[in-house]
Amino acid sequence: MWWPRCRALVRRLLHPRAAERALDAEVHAYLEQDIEARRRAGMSAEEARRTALLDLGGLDQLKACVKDSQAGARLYGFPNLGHDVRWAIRGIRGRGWSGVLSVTLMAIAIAASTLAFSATDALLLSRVPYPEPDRLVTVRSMVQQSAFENLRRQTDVFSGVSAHQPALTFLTTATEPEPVDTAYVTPGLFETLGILPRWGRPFVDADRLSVSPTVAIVDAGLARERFGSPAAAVGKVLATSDRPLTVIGVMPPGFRYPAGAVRIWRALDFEQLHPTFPNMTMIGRLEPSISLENASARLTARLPELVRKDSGKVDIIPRTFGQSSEERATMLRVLLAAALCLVLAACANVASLELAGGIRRAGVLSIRMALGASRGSLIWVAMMEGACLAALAIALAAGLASVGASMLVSFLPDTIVFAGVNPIDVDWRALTFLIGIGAGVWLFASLPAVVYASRSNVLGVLKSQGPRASVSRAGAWVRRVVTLTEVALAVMLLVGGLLYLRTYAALLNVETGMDTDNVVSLRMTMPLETFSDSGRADLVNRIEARLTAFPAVVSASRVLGTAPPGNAYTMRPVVELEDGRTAREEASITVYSVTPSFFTTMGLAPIRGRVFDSADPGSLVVITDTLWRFLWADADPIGRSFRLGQGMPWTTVVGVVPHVRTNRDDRGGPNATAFSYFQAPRSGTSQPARPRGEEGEPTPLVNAPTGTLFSSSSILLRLSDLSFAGELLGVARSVDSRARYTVEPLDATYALRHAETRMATSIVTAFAGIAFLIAIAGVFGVMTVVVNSRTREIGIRMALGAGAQEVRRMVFGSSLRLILAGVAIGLATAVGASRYIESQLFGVTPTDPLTLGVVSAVVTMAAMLATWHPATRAARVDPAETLRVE
Amino acid sequence: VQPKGLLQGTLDLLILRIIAREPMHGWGIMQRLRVLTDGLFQVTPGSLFPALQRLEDNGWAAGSWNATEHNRRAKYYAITRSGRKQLAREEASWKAITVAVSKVLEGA
Repeated sequence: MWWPRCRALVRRLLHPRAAERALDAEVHAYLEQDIEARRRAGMSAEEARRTALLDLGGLDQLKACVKDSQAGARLYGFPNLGHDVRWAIRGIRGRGWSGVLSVTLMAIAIAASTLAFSATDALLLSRVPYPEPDRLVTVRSMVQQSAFENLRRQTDVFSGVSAHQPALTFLTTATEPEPVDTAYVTPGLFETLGILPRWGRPFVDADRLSVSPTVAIVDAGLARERFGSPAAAVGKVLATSDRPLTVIGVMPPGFRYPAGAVRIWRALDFEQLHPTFPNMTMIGRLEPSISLENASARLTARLPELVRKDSGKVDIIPRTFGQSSEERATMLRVLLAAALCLVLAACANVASLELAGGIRRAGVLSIRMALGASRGSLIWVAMMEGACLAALAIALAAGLASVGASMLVSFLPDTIVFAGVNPIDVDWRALTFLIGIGAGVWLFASLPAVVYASRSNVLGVLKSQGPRASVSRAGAWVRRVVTLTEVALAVMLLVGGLLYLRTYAALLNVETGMDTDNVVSLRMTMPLETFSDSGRADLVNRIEARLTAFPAVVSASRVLGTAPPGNAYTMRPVVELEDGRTAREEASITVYSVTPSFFTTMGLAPIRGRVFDSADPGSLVVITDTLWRFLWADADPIGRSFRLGQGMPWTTVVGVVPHVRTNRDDRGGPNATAFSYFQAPRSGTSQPARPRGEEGEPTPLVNAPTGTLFSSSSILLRLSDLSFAGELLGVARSVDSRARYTVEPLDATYALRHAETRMATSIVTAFAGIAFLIAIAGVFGVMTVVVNSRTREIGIRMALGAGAQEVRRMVFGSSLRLILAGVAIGLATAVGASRYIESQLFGVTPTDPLTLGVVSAVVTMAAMLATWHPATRAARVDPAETLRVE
Repeated sequence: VQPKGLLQGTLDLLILRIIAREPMHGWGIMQRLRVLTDGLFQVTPGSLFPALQRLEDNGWAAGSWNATEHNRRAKYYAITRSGRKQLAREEASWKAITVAVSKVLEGA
């Protein structure tokens, strides 16, 4: 029975006018039949019509009667949805600013949680955008070209094997070459992944076999920027600093393999590669019928023919995508939780506003009930109003979220933006979440008003004289609970925000061990295609010479690869000492290769021994205090030797400098640092046995790290004033514009390390600020209502001799009880939840008494200030006036 | 007997009974009701049309437009399958009630 009724209701909702017309026609047909019958019975035409109409009892009443019996009539009691929406909109308009406030608040909270969700969704829930991702494997092997070709031939194991390698392409622009992250890929990579270019074609073997491939596949965004539209890009030519590239295909938007930053894919040119393909990654797709174990076994059995080397080895492991570090995962969860707290606070606030509005309109409700509106219809209207508010908020939130997503992406550090396999954007999943949250907000926010409408009774309101007296005890009680929740949430978020703030401040204040003021690093990235080995060495030398001559430069030094605090060669080695002892390092050891002037530039004075001299041999090393203590405890380290594991060269300590902070120090155990002597090559000399990809001599302390298809080098410069930093770039470019240069103050480099913490800090703090304002507004609102509802009581008390002072104290007292209860709940929850963010904190404990104390004091004080106005109003109550009204 | 005096639900039962014989339009149902009850039941359009609407919404009657014997167009209501089941249920319960009520009246 319910099904036909639902169908009828839906039909009527969809075609309200059709139903109305049908009824009209039916009644008219009835009337005509009736008139005709009366005429046949002998009445005159006029008489028949008059009596028939009379018996009908009026068309409009008849229609009203029919509508009352229609399906769904009892549910909403109004002719149609349009009417209800109009009613609801009228109700919302009647809210004025409080309506605007509610909608804005809900929209902000919904948008914030949606953004937190889409970041979490993109970075944490590793949704793999490739078909049948469980068939994808990483192939690990030291592979040579022939071996790779052999692997590709194992078609009973793999349906595809591909390799790729990171690179840079320098695109020609009007001003300077723009470096774009590039992947060199073997033809077949896109087929292996299962995603082909949406426009144009994928690579074919012919692209690779040409000696220098000149074709490229580009990212949809890049195609749009450069050629207007992805479709138009196919066949066009991209000018690069090296050789022009013809675009043969454009990937679908959101394709992020092998990394989010990659925007150009080029066919892998084996001629360009080092025999052992540094940084090469191989990915394979297993044949549908074969298991991982079987595939592994088959490859092992065929090893001799695959690699043609005794030591060769091929491993396949399931490919994993976009795994976030535990630390980042925790941070994202904290942000999501904070956003949901904000949603809850916003809900509470809107619920409270709605309830206040409902109480104000209690009179209207009762009159409508007295006129025959059913209780159901009042509930329906209250729900419709809530739904309209929520719909407005959802629409606004969708706009805010999509603008916010692009802002978020530009605001987030690249390490986060490009971390996931999926871009951070408002996709359909985020939209579903948004609508879900919106529906939740609707339920929560309109619940009190609905409950209130369902309980309103005619007599109760009509008996009392006005809406003010009608403020029910239940309403006040609900508002107290709501306010309590708001205060508790605000306290929680404030505690979180303050803890993050103190963590960030503590991170920034950690001593670097060096004098980093006025020091900038100039990082040079030189594409291998453009520069030969000696060309790179020559370029660094020339730039260093030019910069040293620059008047503002006090001191210049060079670092091979990454400068502190960057991730240089880091290992957890077994350290061998000259006396035959070995020491297993608990912390990691970071090794930077530096020129002798490094210590002058960085203001690092030796605490033992000396630093490098330009006449020193390359086998010397300067270590930090930390490494000294670890290796030799209190014994004098000068002149002692050690090496980082078997096969590594022995090095001799010449000096000890204070602990230097690197990226490894920020969290986790201490990090020991060693500086090996980097002898910059002289220009024009060829240096044999040098690994390809790194400029200069391999550091003697460790075997050279594997290179990439681009090479980098840093020059550290101490300036007389940081304001000269901007000019360095111009100087470098004037020497050679074919490389990428970045100049950055070292302090900024250190601060950038904490970009994620800073982001979490600013977001949680902003949420906490909004929640705080909500809580204070809530306290103000509830105390105003309390004072209003107790005007009579206050009047009587004053008539009985209570002074203004006592009345004020009474109001403050009741407010204080509420606030303290909220603060207590908030603190308890914050302390309970704090162990989840403990790993995120630095330099402050999650139950830090100072933080908890400050938050409690601030919230209590602000809430007492918000009580000031209602308390003063209560104290001004004129007993005579109040009692006369009654 | 005025419509208000009719037991609620009785009208629906009577209408179902009438259209169970043959499809009938509103005016015809009213006339038939008057004839069958010897003029005792005077149903007004104010109760007839809501009742028809109710029957149709519940899926017990299906309306369709057809020509009348006087060549006018009118909406004919025909009973549906679920309408027949409902009619059987209602008839049974009505009979049970009347039997029970008359037992009380006679026994008292």
